[in-house]
Amino acid sequence: MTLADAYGAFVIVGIVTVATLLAELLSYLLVYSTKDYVRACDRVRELNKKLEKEDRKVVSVEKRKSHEKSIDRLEEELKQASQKMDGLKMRSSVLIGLSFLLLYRMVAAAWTGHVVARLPFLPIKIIQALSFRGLQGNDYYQCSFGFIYTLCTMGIKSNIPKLLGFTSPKSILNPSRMAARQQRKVGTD
Amino acid sequence: MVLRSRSSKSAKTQVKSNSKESNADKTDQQQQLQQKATYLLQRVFDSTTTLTPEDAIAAAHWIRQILGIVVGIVYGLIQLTGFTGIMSFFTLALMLPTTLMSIFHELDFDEINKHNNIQTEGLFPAMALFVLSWTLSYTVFLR
Repeated sequence: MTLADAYGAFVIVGIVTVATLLAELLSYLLVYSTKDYVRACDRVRELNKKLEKEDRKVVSVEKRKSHEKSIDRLEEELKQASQKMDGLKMRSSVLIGLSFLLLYRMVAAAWTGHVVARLPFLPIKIIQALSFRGLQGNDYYQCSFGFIYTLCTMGIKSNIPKLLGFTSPKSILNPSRMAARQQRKVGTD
Repeated sequence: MVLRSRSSKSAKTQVKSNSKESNADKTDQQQQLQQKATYLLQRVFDSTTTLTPEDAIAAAHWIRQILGIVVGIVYGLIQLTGFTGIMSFFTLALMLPTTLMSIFHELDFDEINKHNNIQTEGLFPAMALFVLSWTLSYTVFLR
């Protein structure tokens, strides 16, 4: 295999990169630039800060109950704010998901049955189902378009929004925090 | 007249103190802007700067992605094959970012992990980028 034989893989990488950039542009126009979304993001950030501040506070035994109540209230507000933010993002996510499905169909129509690259390792059986899909013979080092497309989706599609700074703020209500809080509650009881 | 001059003097001193405060604010803002402007990865290797938990997580993410692309291309170039490549990259991607950052900065991993897990941040997309660049460069440089 030479560079000329492997151009299919490069074309797929290029298509996915351009499609992701276009999808992000669309998301920016439909969601990220809207006032509602900016306000929702600011609210999540603000509540994250407030909750962190409350978490750090050291309170006396008498004030512990009211402190716990205020944390509960903030957590509920944060949950609602992040739900609102995700809801606003949903429309564009569905639209982009559908357009990527269409893109996969188009790429599949063009490259099914073609070897687009040669793998440097023998994939395990589950991965072979993807890397050898649509190919003939028993040389499992051959790679079909599906594997390259999936790698692009995992590697490029997830990094571009981060690179452009379009990632939404994460709520700090993660499982590790909830577990720590539960432990603290059990300790005080 | 005396009263007026006194009041004008006090007003002047107030203005001066106000201008001093605003100057201090300005310099703070300038410093913040300068800190933001300097590249995140540049700050990782500069022990005179500080890294917030968010900065540390973002730096770990990008170090892994760059490592994935570079190591993938190098492995393809030297025609490395087999699961040795995958395992060696996995170990490198897991350990290198945190090791690098702890050489140049004093990091509180408990505090950082409250925000996100720094040990695994960006590991999955980095693995995908590594396999992609390894496969492409291996195919191109295949003899």
